[in-house]
Amino acid sequence: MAIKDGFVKEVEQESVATRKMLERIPAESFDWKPHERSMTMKGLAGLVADMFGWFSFMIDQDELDFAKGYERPDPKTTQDLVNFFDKKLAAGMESLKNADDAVFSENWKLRNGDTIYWEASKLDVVRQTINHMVHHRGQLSVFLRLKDIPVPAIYGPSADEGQM
Amino acid sequence: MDSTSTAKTNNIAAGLIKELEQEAAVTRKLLERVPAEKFDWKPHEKSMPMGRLATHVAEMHGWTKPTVDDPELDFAKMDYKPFEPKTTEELVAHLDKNVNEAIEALKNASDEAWFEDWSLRNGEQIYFTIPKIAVMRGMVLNHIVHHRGQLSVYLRLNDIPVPAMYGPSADEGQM
Repeated sequence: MAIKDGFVKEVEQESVATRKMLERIPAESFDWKPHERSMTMKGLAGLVADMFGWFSFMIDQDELDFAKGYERPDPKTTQDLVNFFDKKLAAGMESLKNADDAVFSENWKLRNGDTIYWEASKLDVVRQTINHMVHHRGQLSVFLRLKDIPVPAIYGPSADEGQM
Repeated sequence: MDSTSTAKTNNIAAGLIKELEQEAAVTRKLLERVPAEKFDWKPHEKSMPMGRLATHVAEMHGWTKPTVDDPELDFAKMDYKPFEPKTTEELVAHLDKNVNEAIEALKNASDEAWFEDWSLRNGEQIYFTIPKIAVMRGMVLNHIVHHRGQLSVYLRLNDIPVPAMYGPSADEGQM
């Protein structure tokens, strides 16, 4: 089994619940946040929608340099948000599916000009990106609950759906 | 352990142990910050209380051993009593115990064993049958990260500083 095979399967699985959550976020709630120091619903949902697209620059390039600019998602509607997710997921998957095992031993950097924030193997970077998405999607599930939006079953039933 | 039989590789377990240790260090930081007087607090009537959510994050590490050692988990045969910590220290100690047990269990897992089937069932009813690696990856590790993410919002809502996790939080680790 190639390294990418496990990742592809896992990303496909995780994407199902992610998409379901994004589909439920009404545009009226985009500016809402549960605490003054929290991200807004749009900021958090946009980040969750963006993250699987990161595989493109993590696999096909050797670094991401914030000094060169990074375009953050700015959806206006729920449909924009879901479309953005679909587009990013498709791009990330394309890169993953074309990655041979050797690529995952290559080094990758996150930097801002001369400041290096993070340097790790592409294997670790891809792995951590999946965990990172799951982390923020977990946060997003609390945002949904607080806005009385039904939380989909993710790893098991939620209080709203999928009771066994 | 039998060291005379054909050498089995355990590269998968080595990667999982490294990841579990990294993630558990962050998880521990969060649990250390959950005050006992907030164990009953919840952000919404349908939410888990903070103490239950934090304990759930700690106890889920304990699912590693049955994933590695057994072919299934049958709710019908389980006598599940949720651990109920009285203090933050008890909560953190529960995490430490479960993380250590998980790492010990992982050390015995050969690469090929990860591709054996594993089922979650309740007597006759089978919820799912998937390879052990998918159980460990999704139902254990990602599932922990999911609930820990929820816990980070609970901390924020209680004005408890959120530690830097995968990057800086609004409270700590600014670049």
